[in-house]
Amino acid sequence: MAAEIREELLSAYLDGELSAEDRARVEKFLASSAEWRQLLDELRSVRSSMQSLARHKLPEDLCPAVLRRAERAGIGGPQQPAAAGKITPGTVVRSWWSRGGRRRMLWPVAAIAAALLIAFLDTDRKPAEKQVAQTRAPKGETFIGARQLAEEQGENKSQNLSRHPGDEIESETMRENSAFAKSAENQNVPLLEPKMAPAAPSSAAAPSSRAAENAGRSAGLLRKETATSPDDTLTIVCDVTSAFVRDRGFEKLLDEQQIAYRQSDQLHFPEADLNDRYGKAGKEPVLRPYLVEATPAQVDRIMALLRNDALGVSKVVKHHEYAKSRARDERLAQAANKPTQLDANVPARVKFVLRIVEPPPSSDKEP
Amino acid sequence: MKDDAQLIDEALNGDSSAFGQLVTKYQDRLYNTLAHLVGSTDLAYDAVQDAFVQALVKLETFERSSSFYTWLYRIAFNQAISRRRREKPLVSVEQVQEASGHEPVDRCGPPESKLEQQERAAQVRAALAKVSDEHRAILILREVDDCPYEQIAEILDLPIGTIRSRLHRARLQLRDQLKGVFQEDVT
Repeated sequence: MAAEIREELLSAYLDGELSAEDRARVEKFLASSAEWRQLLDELRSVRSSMQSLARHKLPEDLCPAVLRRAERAGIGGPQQPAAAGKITPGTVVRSWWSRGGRRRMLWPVAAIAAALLIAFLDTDRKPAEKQVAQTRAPKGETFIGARQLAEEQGENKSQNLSRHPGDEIESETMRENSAFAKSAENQNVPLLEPKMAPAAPSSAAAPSSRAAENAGRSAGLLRKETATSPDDTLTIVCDVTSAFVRDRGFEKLLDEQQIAYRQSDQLHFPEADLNDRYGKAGKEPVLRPYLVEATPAQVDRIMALLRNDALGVSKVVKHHEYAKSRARDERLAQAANKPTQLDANVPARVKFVLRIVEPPPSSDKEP
Repeated sequence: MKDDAQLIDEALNGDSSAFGQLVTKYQDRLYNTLAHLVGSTDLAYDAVQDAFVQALVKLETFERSSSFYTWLYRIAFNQAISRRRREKPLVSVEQVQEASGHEPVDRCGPPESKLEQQERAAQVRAALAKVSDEHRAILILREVDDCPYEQIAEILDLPIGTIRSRLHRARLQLRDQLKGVFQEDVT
């Protein structure tokens, strides 16, 4: 026990965190103990190892996104009276209200009031008809939410919209008002900031009533089912050579197509599953994920370009979980008697995973 | 250059650009620390953003008994840990870096070749990943973030004596892990 305490002093000695008295004690002990001198060298080596770690630098300034998100979070915060001039959730509510929040809130409130009025007055309707009347209100709300979102999207196009459906800061009241908005964010709002190329021109980039309508329909249709389930993200796995990665082949391809992307370091489906599915020969495959924002047509185009033999891409496969979610979406679309291609022009988040596999050695080089 | 207290006062008086200056001041430091802590730049990015948002929304509750960075770090630490639990990364920073050949910004270090530096850094990360969470946190605060014991004690809400003993044990644990990594590398 006593030895352990002295050892702790050795670590603190290394850090210059000892009093003069303790430092003198440690130096005296060091002079007489080769074991301690060795331990001190080892501790120095550990410290040097840690300090050799490279420093990570943020890819961009977080300031605009933080202030915007704080405002959004503050809207839903507890609406208590705020001291004059102070940034509090209540203040944010007022500023949002004065900037047009009142006008935005009017539509959902009016829709709900109208639905209630119809339900109350029209008591002699058949039950099935009443059900239709009651379901119209949420649809109206959904559409309005989509329009708001498309407007905001236009305002914030140049900024990084890193939005998180699971924000813990958002209050219950805000959740109630923005249930659709979250769903729509998952579906249609650009979550990626173009890293090297400008965003592809699309209907979503220039907000229009058509885009808003598409956003409203598709997001409303999939409201419950999409949300945060990671498997709902279309994931495309490509077997590539290390040369393709080294030459930045994928980035160049996306740049040429003017498609927004950024590198990621997360995979949301089990790596083991991926390895089982696409084969694992000897060495652990190296996976390099990208988050891409593209319309379905653009995704098809990327896949077609990747299948060009000259690029050294040996396989391009959609992950099977996406097929499941897509099939489910189509079932829902059919149940709602809606066409399934409404979101064809709206960019969505897609994950491309480059799996680096070296090409098999040619037979004439084998022993 | 205004100090943190002035910026906080101005932010509380409605000047959001003052809080923006605090973000600019601390974002890189916080991001670097969290990226090493959770082993994922994506998780760190999200956690840092969440932490700043939460700090702004709750700025009125900051009692100033500690430094702003200490308070902010505690928020960010909790965000990062809860995010990691929710979205456990399956591809680590080092795998991606190995794949891409990209390394983050280099610190000035010994005159090794870049390849040697990268190999060594990868070994250290591998060893660090095997160290317990509490030991990793204290090692990163001390060695990466260069926090004095007193600040580490504030951040982790522990007495300085505990910090001293825990840091020593963490170094011994990392030393043992590094020995293992080097041995694996040799064989």
